[in-house]
Amino acid sequence: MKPEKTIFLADDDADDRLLFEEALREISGGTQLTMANDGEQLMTILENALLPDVIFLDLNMPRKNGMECLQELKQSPKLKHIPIVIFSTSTQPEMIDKVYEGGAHYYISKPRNFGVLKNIIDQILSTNWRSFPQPSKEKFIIQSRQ
Amino acid sequence: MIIESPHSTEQFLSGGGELGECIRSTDWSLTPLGPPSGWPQSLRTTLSIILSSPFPMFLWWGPDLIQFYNDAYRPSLGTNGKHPHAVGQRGVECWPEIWTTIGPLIERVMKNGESFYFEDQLIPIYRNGGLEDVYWTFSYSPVRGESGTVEGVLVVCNETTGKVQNLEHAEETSRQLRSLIAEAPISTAVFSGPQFIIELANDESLKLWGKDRRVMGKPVLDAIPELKGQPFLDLMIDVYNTGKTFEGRESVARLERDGSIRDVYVNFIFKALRDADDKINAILAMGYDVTEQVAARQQLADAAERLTLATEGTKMATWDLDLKTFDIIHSPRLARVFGHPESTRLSFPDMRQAVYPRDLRVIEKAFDVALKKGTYYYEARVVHPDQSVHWIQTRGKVFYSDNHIPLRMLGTMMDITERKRAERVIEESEKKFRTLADSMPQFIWTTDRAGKLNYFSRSVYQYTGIMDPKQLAECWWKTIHPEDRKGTLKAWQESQTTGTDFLFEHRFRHHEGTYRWQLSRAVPQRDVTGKIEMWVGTSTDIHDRKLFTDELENKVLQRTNELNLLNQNLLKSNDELAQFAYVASHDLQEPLRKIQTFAGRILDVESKNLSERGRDYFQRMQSASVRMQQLIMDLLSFSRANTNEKYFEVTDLNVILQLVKEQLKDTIDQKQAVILSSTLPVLNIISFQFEQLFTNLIANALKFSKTDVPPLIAIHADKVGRDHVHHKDAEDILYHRIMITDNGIGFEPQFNERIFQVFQRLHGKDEYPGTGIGLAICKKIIENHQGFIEASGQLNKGAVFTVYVPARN
Repeated sequence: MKPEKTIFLADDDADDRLLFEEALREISGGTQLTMANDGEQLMTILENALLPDVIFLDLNMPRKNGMECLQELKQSPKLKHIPIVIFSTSTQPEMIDKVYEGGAHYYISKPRNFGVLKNIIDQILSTNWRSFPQPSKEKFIIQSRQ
Repeated sequence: MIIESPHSTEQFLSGGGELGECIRSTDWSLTPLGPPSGWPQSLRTTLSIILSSPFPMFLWWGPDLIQFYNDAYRPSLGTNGKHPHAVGQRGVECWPEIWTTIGPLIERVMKNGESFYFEDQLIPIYRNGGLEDVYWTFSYSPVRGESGTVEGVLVVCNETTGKVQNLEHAEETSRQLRSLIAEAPISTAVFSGPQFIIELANDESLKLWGKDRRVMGKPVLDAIPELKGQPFLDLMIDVYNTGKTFEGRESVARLERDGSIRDVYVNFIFKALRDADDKINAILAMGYDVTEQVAARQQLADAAERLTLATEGTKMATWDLDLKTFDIIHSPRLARVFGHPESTRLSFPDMRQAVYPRDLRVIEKAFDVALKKGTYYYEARVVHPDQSVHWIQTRGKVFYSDNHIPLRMLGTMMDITERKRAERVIEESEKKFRTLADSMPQFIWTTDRAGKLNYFSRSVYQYTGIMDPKQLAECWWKTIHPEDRKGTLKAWQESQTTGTDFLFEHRFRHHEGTYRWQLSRAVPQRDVTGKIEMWVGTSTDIHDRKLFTDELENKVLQRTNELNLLNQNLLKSNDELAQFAYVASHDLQEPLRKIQTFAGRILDVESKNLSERGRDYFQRMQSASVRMQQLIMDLLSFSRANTNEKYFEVTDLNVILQLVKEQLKDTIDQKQAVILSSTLPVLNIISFQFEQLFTNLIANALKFSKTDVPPLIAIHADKVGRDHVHHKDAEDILYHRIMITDNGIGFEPQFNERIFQVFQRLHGKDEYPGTGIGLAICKKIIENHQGFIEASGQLNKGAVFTVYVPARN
């Protein structure tokens, strides 16, 4: 029996939030999911909430985008140890390089297929984050086979 | 006991040559020995040995030392000496002259049985009618009788007088030679053997060579290495080989003096020395240093030459004029100045008479000045008796009495016609130069060696409006445009320092106040030693040309700016295009992704609730969205092929092909395709674009394969010239040719060109999926590499796509 986990998702796209939640529910009913509509909301929630096991972070968001969130998180002594998984439609290599350097653990480009999405979330959930270092650049990107 | 018969008595004396005969004929009964029949056996035996020996032997026998000797000994006694009566004689009687020497020796042999041996011992004896110094090598040995006592003294001897004398002679000669050499006042040395070992060298030699005694016994080249390359060694070798004596006079030798190598003049002689066999075995060298004499002689010659030059050079005559009587005394040369023989004596009036009439005033004036001021100087013409006119120059000094009355004038006079002529030549050439310079529209000017302006041609005066030369030289600087002064000064100073041509463009002020551009140029004039004497400069009006050039430059600059602006705009619009392509692909894909995902969700989750038709619609929707996704991605690729992401790198096409084959592995496996390839070149290319090129071409070949035949794709690369490139823009260079041939469905030849256009498709979407962009991308990529691509198809047989890329080294 897996221990109960807490994950945060920040994404301004309602469809993607819906799909993410459905995929998560099909994998694990016990995992707690907190969702934010943008980066600002995420940072507010993080101020008071218990710290999650992992944060899924969209990049292209209004008000405070994913990159800004990542920088803030990594500068905060309290929050910098939370693993960050980038969850974006962008496939721009410059952006991938930037978030890798910014200290994110994984980069997921949003899949077109629900099954693939489930597999990826499952893979992230089963990761033991304790003393899990940032992977190599090749393993950093989780390619969704279309 | 042996009984001797008379016959046997004679027998021991038989033979023995002259001395045997002599002994036999001697009446021994008159001697203390008595007749031979009574001689003891030991004597007989000894005599027998002596007489038969070819080696000189002598015997003293018995207490009276009666003498015997053999033929070999005989010559030592000479003629007119002791032979033949020495035979049978008592020793003491025979050798009175040396008995004091040999007597004691003989006595010691007789008494003690001792033996003696002497070598080259001088024992003078009486022979050949006088006492001679005779040298002997000899031994005295005892002869014992039957009783064992010493009965006689056997002398085995050899006269060595000749040998000893030879030796002595040689030693004496050598000693004399050595002392002669050592004491010789000139340098004398002996070099022995072919190596020329310094065997003898007197102090003078060492002084000459600049060496000390350590050179003794060394080969000459080791001893005096500086001789290497000088002629002396070859001369010695020659003398040694030919025996011919060589004599050198005032030859220059480079020898050591006070630690450095100097030229030394020597007189010397090399003479071969011979040994007893007349073979050359050494060289006698004698010589002396004549450097000082040579130098002294040269100095004398120099002095004489200078003296000659001085007198001949000046051609100066001297005179002494009595100012009271006007008597004049002059040197013989003065007569020559007036065209007379040197023996002629001229009076003061004679001289005045000879003056060229028009110059008389000059002289009279100079004379008046001299009487007042004390110095006399003029240059004037005189007429020679042959009517030729000559220039003379006179200088004089007046001597006064105590009360300031002029008494005498002493002076010199010389003919300066040549100088005058030369001056006139220079004047004329200068005049020519000025005329030339003044006739030219350019500015001509000169400066002295320090760069100070000292001449301007007429055009400068006319241009500046300054007519006074002095003023122009001072103001010239101010006629240069203030903006150009600093540069002019710098360039001029640079030329002055380095002695190189001055070249500068600057503006000069016209007297009307306008400035015009001039190109100034100055070249240094040098004397024979290369020292700069003056600068000759020109300035040429280049105003119109300059303005034209400036205008041209301005226009070019303006055009360049415009082009730059256009370029920037182009770059900007390219960037905007790239931005648009990115945004379009990203944002268009976003809703598409959702459509795909939700359609997938419906088919997954709601499949049961849908009719057959509904499911079919959903599937069609799915495939339409997949095609749209492909379209977007291809458009993105096409736009990327257009943009300036042109990072060229050296790339191995074999590696690229391998990569592409791996990416297409699924399709290749599924179609059971075979891809053959020759070795592909390594090219400097945009790597990712070639990857795309290969991907598109191979994917095409796989896609358009026949259903019943497994695809065979052959990739071949080689190098070809322009003739093989079927394209009008092909250059005359080598191209890499890469041909990709397949055995697919091909196409009709009339589509060879068309298939490279965007969105051109030859088949329905249902038959062969695709967007019609792939080959357009290929064309773009190849154009990015200054290459060409062509296709040639045959329906149902296959297609060949050929790529040409310039081969660069």
